[in-house]
Amino acid sequence: MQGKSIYHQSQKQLLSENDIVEAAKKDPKQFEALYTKYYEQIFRYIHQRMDDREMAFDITSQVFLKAMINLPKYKYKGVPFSSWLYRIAMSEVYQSFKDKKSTRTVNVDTSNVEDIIDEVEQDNTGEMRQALIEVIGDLPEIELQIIEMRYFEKRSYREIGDILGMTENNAKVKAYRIVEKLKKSFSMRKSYNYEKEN
Amino acid sequence: MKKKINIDRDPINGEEITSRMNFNQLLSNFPGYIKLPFYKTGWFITTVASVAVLVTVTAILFSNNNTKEIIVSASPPITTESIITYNEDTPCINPPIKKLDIQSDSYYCENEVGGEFTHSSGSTIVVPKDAFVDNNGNSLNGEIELRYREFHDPIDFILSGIPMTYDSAGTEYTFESAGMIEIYGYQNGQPVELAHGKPIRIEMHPKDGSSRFNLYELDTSSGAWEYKGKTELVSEDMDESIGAPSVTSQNSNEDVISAIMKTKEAIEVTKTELAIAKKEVIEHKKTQPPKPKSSINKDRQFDLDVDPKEFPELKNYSSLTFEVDADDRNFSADVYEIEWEDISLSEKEKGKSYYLTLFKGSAKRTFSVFPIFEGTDYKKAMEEFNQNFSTYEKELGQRISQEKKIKEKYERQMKLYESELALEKKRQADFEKNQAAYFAQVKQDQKNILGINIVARAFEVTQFGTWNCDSPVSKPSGAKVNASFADNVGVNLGLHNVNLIEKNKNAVFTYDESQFNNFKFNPEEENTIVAFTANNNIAIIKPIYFKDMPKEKKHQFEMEIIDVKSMTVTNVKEKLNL
Repeated sequence: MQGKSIYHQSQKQLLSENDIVEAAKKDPKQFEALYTKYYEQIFRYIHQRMDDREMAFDITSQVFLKAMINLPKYKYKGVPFSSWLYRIAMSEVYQSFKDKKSTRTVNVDTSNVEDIIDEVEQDNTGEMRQALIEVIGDLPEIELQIIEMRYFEKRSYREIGDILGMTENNAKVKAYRIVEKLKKSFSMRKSYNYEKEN
Repeated sequence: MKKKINIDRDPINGEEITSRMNFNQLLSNFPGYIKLPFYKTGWFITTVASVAVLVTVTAILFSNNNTKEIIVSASPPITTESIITYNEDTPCINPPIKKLDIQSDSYYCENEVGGEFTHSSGSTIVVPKDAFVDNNGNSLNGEIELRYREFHDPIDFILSGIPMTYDSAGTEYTFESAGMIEIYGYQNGQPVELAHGKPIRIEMHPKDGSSRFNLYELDTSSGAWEYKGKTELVSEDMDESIGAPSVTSQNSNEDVISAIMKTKEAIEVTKTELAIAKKEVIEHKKTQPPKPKSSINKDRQFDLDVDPKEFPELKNYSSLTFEVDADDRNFSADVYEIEWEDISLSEKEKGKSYYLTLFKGSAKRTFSVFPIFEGTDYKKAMEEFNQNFSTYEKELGQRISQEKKIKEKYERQMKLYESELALEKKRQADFEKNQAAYFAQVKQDQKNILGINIVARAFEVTQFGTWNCDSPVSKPSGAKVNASFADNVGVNLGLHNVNLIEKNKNAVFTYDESQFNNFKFNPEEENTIVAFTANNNIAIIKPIYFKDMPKEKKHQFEMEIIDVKSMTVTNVKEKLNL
């Protein structure tokens, strides 16, 4: 993931961040510290899932506005404030797809594809990379999100769990299942090609 | 959802992103934020207050005998209370045709009183008094509107767009539902929340009175269902719950999977270690010291003084002779007849072979040569070689042994990984088998032995949202085709997903387009396929189609298209006749 990840924070840092959140509940101007801290991360998260850069900037502003408006409802749960922002961002992004304001886009960096190829124990050939990109594009949305977060954005399982509202362990298990599914899909593809050739 | 794939898109730099930050603009869009007029700014109030104090003191001093009461009226404080509420959007609920979405009914009650309502389906909604609070947890007074809707059959599930899959420890199940509801509360059009400890009780008339249905709540952010416990079966004769085992608790294989993943992670580490060890052996073999050679052909030799700084491997020898490789065709005896002006030596293989170049004007000749040793030099060279070779062999042995150890460790880990995987697969299969047997037994007991007549399925709603009485079931099996879906003249419909409905299961098995090549169904069941076309019509395959369907690996389903533009939900249900 481009940009500095500031997800992992010590207990002290988390509490200090929550102090800012509490202050911002009383005085919206105090929200600026959170806006500055997380703007780039949230933008990148949104932009990763769509094609239109300007739309990504618009949605980023919308996310922070909704976060400010709903801040009184925010309750500290011992995780970084960003996990709440990501959930709003996820909701806004999907709303934009639903409203047809933007198109769901999978932005693939080929160097990241190589990591997945390694994981699914396949040969790192151009053909295989192309095939993998196609298979990833066809994954159901929740599975695609996990692949994007884990392999394209290099997020920890803990962060993925927090964003998707599941436990760290469940995120791990899901990622494992997806990789197994990809493996199966490739072995089926191989045997199909073999049968076709013979 | 249609997706676009970009490969290696140009990255966007951090500076460009941060240059678009504009907190002041964000603040100006914030509904609760009011920019203060100049007369309410701090500096203005402070200045005016100072002047006022001065004037007052002066007035008191000068009107000592005629004191007046000064009344100060306080201006209302500027607050951010006009915050609008925000119900998180629910991207996971996507009704395929908005006008055919299942409509909600509204019920009204006074919060101080509570209420009991009977829905058109016969379900009862029991609201305790003081059940509603605002977003800040403050109790509310007055009338509350409850928007309530129910979903009972596969058409309801499909038209509502509510996801009906359930993930239990990484395995995806489909929900077979005994009834699902959605409930939200509002006051003056603004969402309210349910107070802690004041659940709303829902009693539904059960279509299926079996005890295998548990209660789940939809997390609209993630689209995942959360297990919330058991539903209560209310019978004529007995009023106590009959619990079904939780799939989550029986199927909690997360620890097993975690262990498998740990083994896999360890294998990855060992794999890297093994690669390093192998590389070290290869690299070490390259350092094998060359055995000194003595003279072979005196007609192909040159005596040279070698700079020990440049070639430290040759420093121990007083004078050196280099012999041209026997197979070097560049060499001929005439080189000795020319008076060469310069000579250079460069390394080919350290201590073993070199390039020797002779220069005269623009002419040069290069040969591949090797050092030869004679007399005491040869003896010295052999001693040094023997010593170096012994060290080399010792280190090589250590490296090979290390590689072997890591390889053995890798094989042990792989064996463990495979056995863990096999065990997990077996455990999963056993679990599914036992679960099916359990449910069958419970159903039988309930019907034939206990003779219970279930009159309602009850549960408590602790927060507003979507609640479902379900039993997770696996996807159908028995037949599998690589499916494509066309209209009745064979034009591909370009569907993104299709829904398979089995007559005897109150469930919808959704296959997205990535699963069309592995479309499974149970040929023993009465199957119907329902999908939505790009024109917002319904495409359907009726059960009779499956009866005449040829047994083939690849099949194009020719679907009947139903124009639903002027239809209601009831019309659709009548038309589909499920």
